[in-house]
Amino acid sequence: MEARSSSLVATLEDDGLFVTDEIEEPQANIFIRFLRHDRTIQVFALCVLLGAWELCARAGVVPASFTSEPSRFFPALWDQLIHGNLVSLMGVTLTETMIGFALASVLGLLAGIVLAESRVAEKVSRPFLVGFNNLPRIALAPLFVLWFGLGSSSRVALIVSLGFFIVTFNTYAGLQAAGRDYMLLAKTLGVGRIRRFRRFVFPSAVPTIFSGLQLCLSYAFLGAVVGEMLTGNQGLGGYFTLQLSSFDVDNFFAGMVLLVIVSLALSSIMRVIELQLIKWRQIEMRGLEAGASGRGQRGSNRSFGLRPRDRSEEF
Amino acid sequence: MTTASQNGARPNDPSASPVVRVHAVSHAYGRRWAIRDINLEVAESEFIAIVGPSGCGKTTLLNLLAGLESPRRGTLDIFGSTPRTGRTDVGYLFARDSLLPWRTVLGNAELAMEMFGWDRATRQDKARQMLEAVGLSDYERAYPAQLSQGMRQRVAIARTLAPDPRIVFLDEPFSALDAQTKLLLQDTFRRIWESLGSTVILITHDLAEAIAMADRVVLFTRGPGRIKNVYVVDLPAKRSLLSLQGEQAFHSMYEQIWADLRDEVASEGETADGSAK
Repeated sequence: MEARSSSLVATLEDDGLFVTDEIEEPQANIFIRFLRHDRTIQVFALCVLLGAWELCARAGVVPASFTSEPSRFFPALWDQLIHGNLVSLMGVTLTETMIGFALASVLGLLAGIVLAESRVAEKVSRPFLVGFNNLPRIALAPLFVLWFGLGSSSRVALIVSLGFFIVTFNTYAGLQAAGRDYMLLAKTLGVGRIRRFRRFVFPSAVPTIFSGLQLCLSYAFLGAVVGEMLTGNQGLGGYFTLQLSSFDVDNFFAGMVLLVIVSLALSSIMRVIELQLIKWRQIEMRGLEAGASGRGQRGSNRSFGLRPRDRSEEF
Repeated sequence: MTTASQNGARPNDPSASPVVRVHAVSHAYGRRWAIRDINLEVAESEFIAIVGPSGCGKTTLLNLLAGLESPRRGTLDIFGSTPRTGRTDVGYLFARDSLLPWRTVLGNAELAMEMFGWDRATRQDKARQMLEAVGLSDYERAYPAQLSQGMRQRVAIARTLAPDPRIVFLDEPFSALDAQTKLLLQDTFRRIWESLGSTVILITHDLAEAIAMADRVVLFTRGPGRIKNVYVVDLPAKRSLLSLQGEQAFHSMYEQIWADLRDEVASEGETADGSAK
């Protein structure tokens, strides 16, 4: 793209009507450099954190028997993965998380779409939704055990109760975001309701829906682990309770590290899918990140100043 | 240079039957009249501009013609039938480009035809032709966010003209652009129009734009809008908008219409001061 745009700048320049702005290419380089920079900082920050932890524990600033230390919990993790049953416990937690996440996402998406498309449904159900959303769902966990038993299904229920509302509200908010301009365009083109939804409304909601899904995923892990901790020795939650009750902090942190790695991996997978689906959004936001300036004329800022004021005769 | 009669609806060529007929149309929002007693006829392949002070009801008339609203009084017809949305032979272009950010330039240029249900090969073919005409062939895979405001509006022009509409409605299509970009785009549009020969109705508050682009200029009074006068533009059919500034005919035309328009703009200023209300 870069090469092409600079060629256009050149042709416009030939007309004597445009002033060259050659920021396109250096800008791209800065962008990539920033990315690399970020990664370097991240790795560095992680090293500092682990190093400080290790040093503090060794120097006796914090009691290592309570806080463990990297040189002990990483070997413990390895040991638990090879000889212990951490893999199968993680598997149980992951399965619950994924089933709960899938259910919450699908139900939330459907509910959000119904709310956005039906004025009656929105009016009638909004107070109920807000009310349920304000309930402390974690406190309902024992109730779900009572209803669904000690097995995985009570955890799935807890996850759905947490994630459903997040996805519903994000979907609803995203679907409201489709601008009046698109609606007018769709109307003049004689587009029917279903088509308008598929081609104009839903695509503009995708970024907001995805941020809801990301949040839902975090809450899914939370729900699974908390549910397991309540019901005893199943999954990672059960493992955590067990290790803490026997004061085995090393094994406890080993499990934590595994949980962090697995949830990070899942989030990253979602992020990759998101980036593929909404490539346009990345392009749109480019140049608005910190450090990028002087792109006044580029479309990315949507030029609010250039838009005409709303005229009184307009509808 | 001829000035047509008051409230006159006089097509360029009297032998051609009008494709747009506006007969005694009045429209109101709530209890406030927006336009009163509009009579207008537009001939096939004519390019007319409707000019007036802001709030004079120009856009109201366009909305009625586009079938977005129905008039309180009077009748309108386009090709002999009542205006409605979704006609494949009618194109619209607004001040805001309304490009869909998740579609590429080509995807946006194809949009109207896709909504009309045309097959992929035809619409890609037509979209590419039109993108070439607006000078964006190299950009068909770019996203709108990668384009400048002027380029975005060029894509919108391609989207509007690609289905070969017989009538095109333009609602202040260049008002969001800076002066130079505006001039380039007006020129591009006029050039493409000369080769297409569709009927064009342009709504604008920019008198210079109206004279430069149109064959006939319809002047509205301040709101509630009535037709104050109609002027036939005495400029060559094939014209380069970039060199019009040097032509005497353009300037005398401008002065003549501005004298009438100024009255409307000035009297609007008086009411705004609150003296009349």
